Amino acid sequence: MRVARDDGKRPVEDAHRPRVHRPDLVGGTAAELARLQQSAGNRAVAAHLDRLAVQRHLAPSMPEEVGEPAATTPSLAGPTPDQALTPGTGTGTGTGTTGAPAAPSRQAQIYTKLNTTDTGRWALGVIDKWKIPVDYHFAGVGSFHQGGKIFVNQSLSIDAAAMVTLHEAQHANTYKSGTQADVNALSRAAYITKMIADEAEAVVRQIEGSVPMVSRGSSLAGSGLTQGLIDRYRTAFYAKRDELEAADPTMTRAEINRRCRIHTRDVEVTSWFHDGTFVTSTGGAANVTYSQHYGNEWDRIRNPPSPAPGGAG
Amino acid sequence: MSESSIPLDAVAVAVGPGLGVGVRSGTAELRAVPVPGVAPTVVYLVRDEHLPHPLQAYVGVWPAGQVRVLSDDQDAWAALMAEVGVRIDDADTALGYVRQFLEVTRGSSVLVREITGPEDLPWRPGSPDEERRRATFLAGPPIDGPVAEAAADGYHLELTLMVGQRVQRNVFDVTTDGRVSASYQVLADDLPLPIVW
Repeated sequence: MRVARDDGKRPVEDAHRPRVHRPDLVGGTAAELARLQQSAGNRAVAAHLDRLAVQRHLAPSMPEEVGEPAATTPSLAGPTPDQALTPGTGTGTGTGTTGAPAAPSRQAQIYTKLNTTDTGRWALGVIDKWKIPVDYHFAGVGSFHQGGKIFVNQSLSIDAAAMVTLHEAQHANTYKSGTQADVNALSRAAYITKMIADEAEAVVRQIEGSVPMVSRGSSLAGSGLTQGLIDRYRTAFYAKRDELEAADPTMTRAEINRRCRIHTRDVEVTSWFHDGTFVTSTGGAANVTYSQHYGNEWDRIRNPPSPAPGGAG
Repeated sequence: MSESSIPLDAVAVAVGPGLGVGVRSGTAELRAVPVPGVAPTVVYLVRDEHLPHPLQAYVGVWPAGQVRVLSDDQDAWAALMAEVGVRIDDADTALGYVRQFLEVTRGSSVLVREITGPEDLPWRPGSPDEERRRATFLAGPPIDGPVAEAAADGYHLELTLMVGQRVQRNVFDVTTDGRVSASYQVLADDLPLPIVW
């Protein structure tokens, strides 16, 4: 697993090497990366991405990454209000177990669904490792990670809630690992790049976990993902696979998959946050992309709006 | 009721954690949303741009001070309108009323926009299947414009809408006191249109 290095300093040994002109990138848009690749090669791109890396992965998610066994029990996150408040039948004052067994709680159903895939077990491992509270009955607006807690809207189906958990677990893991982008410390371009890097990794997690669920009959509805997005991911992944196989027929399948995942995440999925595929819910007709949104946020931190005359609004 | 006098704690509770934190800290914006045909200001937009994923919701403030989220809840809208009273005297007011109804009650992760032609659609890059559907849609019949006319018991309206990745023709019947009944026909689905993330 890569370790984030955000200070922007180049390794000391660079000073002793012949000077080679490299584009001085601090960002990482697809276009910038393509220019860097053309002018300085793949190693320069890899080194550049290393400097920008957040808590990301080189291969499909596995539960062992967070110290979990291959199979994870739905109760691994410990008792929660959801489990504690599951209603029973009868008066509940006796010692017997009369009556029909209670239906599994919403959380138990979601955890069971997550346990059917490697990425789902990885997400459960994150929740367990960091003791992440997850509210699957959230009645407010949206579904999100905030400050080490995950809120999943009660309106989502079991399938959608499981798929959203895959995404939010990535953000929770980044937050708890202390590798979250710092808007106050990073340059504008580096902040945008790092925020989108975590988003792109979260999208890949979601795709990796959702595809096997869908193949077994789960629905994408409400998850944010669409079949079109999965198709775009596959197209980019397979194009890279064909390129690698043609270039080196001896390359192992695991290595091909590892490189395809990185390439697809850092080029195709990352582009979705720049090209209008993903927009904010608040931008209205302006269709605000996430590169614009994070840039605006960086600007706002440094140039807060003047208070309205006459007090609070 | 002005923005400065709405009960912030009640708004924060209604929208829940996430958006509610910004309401209490002051980073969330509260903006009055006028509704044609409704005299008092009872609908507000709550929006916080200072989050990794910006959030917004529309809330209704009842005369007694109760606050409920109206986003994704058409029943709450109907209850609020019945409580405060609606008077729609002409087709233009009916059209404005329905447009606000659509915006205020849409799901927070569903873009709903009225369109009058394909040039109004904010296309994005699509998968091969999505691009094929886009070409088929663009080669199809032209998009009808809005219709708003008086009817026996109120007003009859028709709008073409972008709803997420779908284009649909909606038909509304609106009574003079603001009750809405609606139906729709999907014109094209799974198009390469923006996804709220």
